[in-house]
Amino acid sequence: MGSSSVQQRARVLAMLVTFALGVWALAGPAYAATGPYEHAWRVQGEVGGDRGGASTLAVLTDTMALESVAGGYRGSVVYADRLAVRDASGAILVQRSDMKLLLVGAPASGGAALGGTFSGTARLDYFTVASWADAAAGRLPARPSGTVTYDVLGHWGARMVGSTARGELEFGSATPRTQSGTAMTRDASWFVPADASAQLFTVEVVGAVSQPDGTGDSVRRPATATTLLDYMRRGISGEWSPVVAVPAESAVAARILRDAKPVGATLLPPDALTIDLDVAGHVLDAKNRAAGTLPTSAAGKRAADLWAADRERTDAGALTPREMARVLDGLLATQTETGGARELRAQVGGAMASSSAGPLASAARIAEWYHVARALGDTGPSRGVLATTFEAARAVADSRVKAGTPLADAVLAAADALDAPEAARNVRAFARVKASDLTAAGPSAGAVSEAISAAGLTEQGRPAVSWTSADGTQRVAPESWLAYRRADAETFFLPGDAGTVALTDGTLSGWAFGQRRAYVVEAGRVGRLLAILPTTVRP
Amino acid sequence: MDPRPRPVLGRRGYLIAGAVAAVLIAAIGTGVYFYARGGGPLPQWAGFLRSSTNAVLQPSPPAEVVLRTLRLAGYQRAAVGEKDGTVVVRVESPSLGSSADVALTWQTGMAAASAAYPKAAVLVVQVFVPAQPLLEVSAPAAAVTAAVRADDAALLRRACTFRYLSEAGGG
Repeated sequence: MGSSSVQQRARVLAMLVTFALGVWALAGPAYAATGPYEHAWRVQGEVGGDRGGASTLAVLTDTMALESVAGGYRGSVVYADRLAVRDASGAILVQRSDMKLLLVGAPASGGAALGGTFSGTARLDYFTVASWADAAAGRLPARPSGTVTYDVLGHWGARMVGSTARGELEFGSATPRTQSGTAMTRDASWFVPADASAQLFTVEVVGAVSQPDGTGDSVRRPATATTLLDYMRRGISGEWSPVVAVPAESAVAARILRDAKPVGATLLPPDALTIDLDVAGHVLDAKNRAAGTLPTSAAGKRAADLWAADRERTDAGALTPREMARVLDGLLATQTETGGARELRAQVGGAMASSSAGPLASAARIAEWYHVARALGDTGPSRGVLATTFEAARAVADSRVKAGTPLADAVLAAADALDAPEAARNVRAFARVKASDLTAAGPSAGAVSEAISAAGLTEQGRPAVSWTSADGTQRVAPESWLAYRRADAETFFLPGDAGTVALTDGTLSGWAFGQRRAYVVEAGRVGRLLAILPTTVRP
Repeated sequence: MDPRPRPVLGRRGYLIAGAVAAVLIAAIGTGVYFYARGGGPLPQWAGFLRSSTNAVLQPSPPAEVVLRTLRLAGYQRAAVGEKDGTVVVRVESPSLGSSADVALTWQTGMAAASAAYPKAAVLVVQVFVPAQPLLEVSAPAAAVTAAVRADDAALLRRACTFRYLSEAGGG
C-alpha cells in the first residue's frame, strides 16, 4: 500500500471526524439530557422581548422519583434552579430556588391516570447583581441579599404512557416559614407562570407494569368486590366493614403508614385500627365534637401552652446542614452503636458528600433526624404533656353522644350511615344562607374561601377549584358558591343550583398541630369525601 | 264416579312443594341477609337489613379513644392496636420543627395509650413523618402510669427504651 493511499485515507478520516463533530455540535442540545421536571416561574410569563425584558433559567438540580407502592404512589421532587430576570426598566432580579417535595397519590381512570397531593419546602435566595451579563452567567455574590423558605402544598395529576407518567404539579399554597435579609415574600401564585399553566413533569414510574397508552390498567390494583356473589361471600366471612369514604390519596397514605415494617420495629397488631382505612378521620372529629371533647377544653388549652413553651425552648433556629451534621455526629457518639445509629450517620455523611444525593436524603430529612437525636439527648427541663393528655383521653373514653341531636346526626352523616337523616346528609335540605355566599371578588375568610382564593383562575377570571378523582381531574368554576347551613351550624357551599359536590371547612385544629383545609364532599351524602384541598400546616 | 275435581298434587306432592318453597324462600332470604351484611348497595327502605350504623354513636373502644385523642392533638394519621398485652401506637407527625415535636409526640402517644388501655403490660409508640419511620419508644405500662401520675416527663424518659427506625436498619 503506497503512502499516497494512506494519506488519502487519513484525509478522508479527518473529514469524517470533522463532519461528525460538527453534527454533534449542532445537534448536541437535542441529545442533552433533560430532567424530568422544569419549573416555570410566574415572572417568566410577565417579561419578554416584546416588552423589553429578558429572562434566563439555569436548572441546577432536577431529580424526580415516582414509585408504585401499596396500591398507590409516592414520590419526590428535588429541584434547584437559578432564574435571572430583567424587566423593561432594566431592573434585574436573580433568584435561586431549592425545592424538595414529597408526593402521595392514587390511580384513577382504571389506572390510566394517577394523581394526589404534594407537600414540601421551597427556599428562595435573592441576589443583588449590577450587570445583566453577570446575572445571566450566574456570577453572583457569595451571600444572598435575602432568603425566604416556604412550606408549599399542592396537588398533581398525570397520565400513564406505558410505564411513564406525564403530568403536572399545581401549587396550592406557599406559606413563608423563615425569612432573612431583604427578600420579599411570595404567595402560591408566584410558583406558577402568569398564564396559569401548570408545572409539567415526565418520569418513569418504578413498579408500574408497562401498558400501551389508554388500553387499561397500567398498575396492578387490589381487586374490589363488585358482584352479587362477592358481597354474599364477604357477608358470610364477615369481611365487610363500613366503607370509609375518604380521598384515595388519604387512604394510600394511611396504608403506607399501616403497612410500613421498619427493620427491628415492633409489628403493628393485625387488627390495628387505622385512621382513613378502618375509620375516617372526619368521623372521629365529628364524634369528638358531638361528645363535647374538644381541643379547646381545659386540658387541651393546658396542653397547647405546654407544647408552645417546649417548642420555644428547643427551637433549632436557622441551622445550616453542616452545623446540623456536626451536632448530629456529636450526639450520635453518645448513643449505642447500633444499626440505626450507623444508618443515621451514613445518611448524613452521604448527603453531605454528594451534591446529587437521593431525593430522600435531603436537608429536610437530615433536619428530622437531627430533631430526633436532640430529643433523645435532651435532658433539660421539660414540663411534658403526660397528665394533660391522659386527662383528655379519659374524657374521650368517658364521653357519650346523645342520639337524636343535630351533633349526633352530623356524626351519622359523617359516617355516611344509611339511617343518617336527610336534614344532616343532603346539603340542599339545609337552611339557605345567602348572606354567607362566596364570590370570586368577595373577601376571603375561613378555610373554604381561602381554598377558593388559592385556586387557579379560568380564562374568565373565575376561581377554578380542582381535584383528582377516579374519573380524572375534576374542575368546578362557578360565579359564586351558595351557602347552606346545617342544624349543627356547619356551613356547606354549593357551586350553583345544579352542583353535585359541595365545599366545607375541614380544618383539623389540635393543641399540637393544625391544618387549615377544605373538604370537597358529595352534595347529597356529605360524609363521602372526594378531596382535601391543601391549605396550610402550623406551627 | 267421584264428581269432585282431582287435585293436581296429592298430599305428598303438596308437602314436597311446600318444603321446596320454604327452602327457596329461606335460601333467598339468607342470600339477601348475607348480601346486605357484605355491604351490597340497598335502597333506603331496606336499611333495616344492615346492622345498625348507630354503632358509630356508641362509646369508643380503646383503640378509638387513642385515635380520637390524637386527632384532638392535631395528628391526621395514626394506627393503634393491642395484642397479648402490648399496645402499639403508630403516629405520623405532620411536621418536625423542633426536638419538642418528637418528644411530645411520644409523650402524647404514651399518655393516650395509658388512659385507654389500663390493663396493658407494655406500651409502644412509633413516631413517623410522612412516608418515613423515625423512632420507636417502648416502656412497661406500669412505669408509664407512674410517670403520668407524677406528671414527670423525665421519669418517663428513664423508663423508656429508644430505637431508631429506618427503612434499611434499626437500632
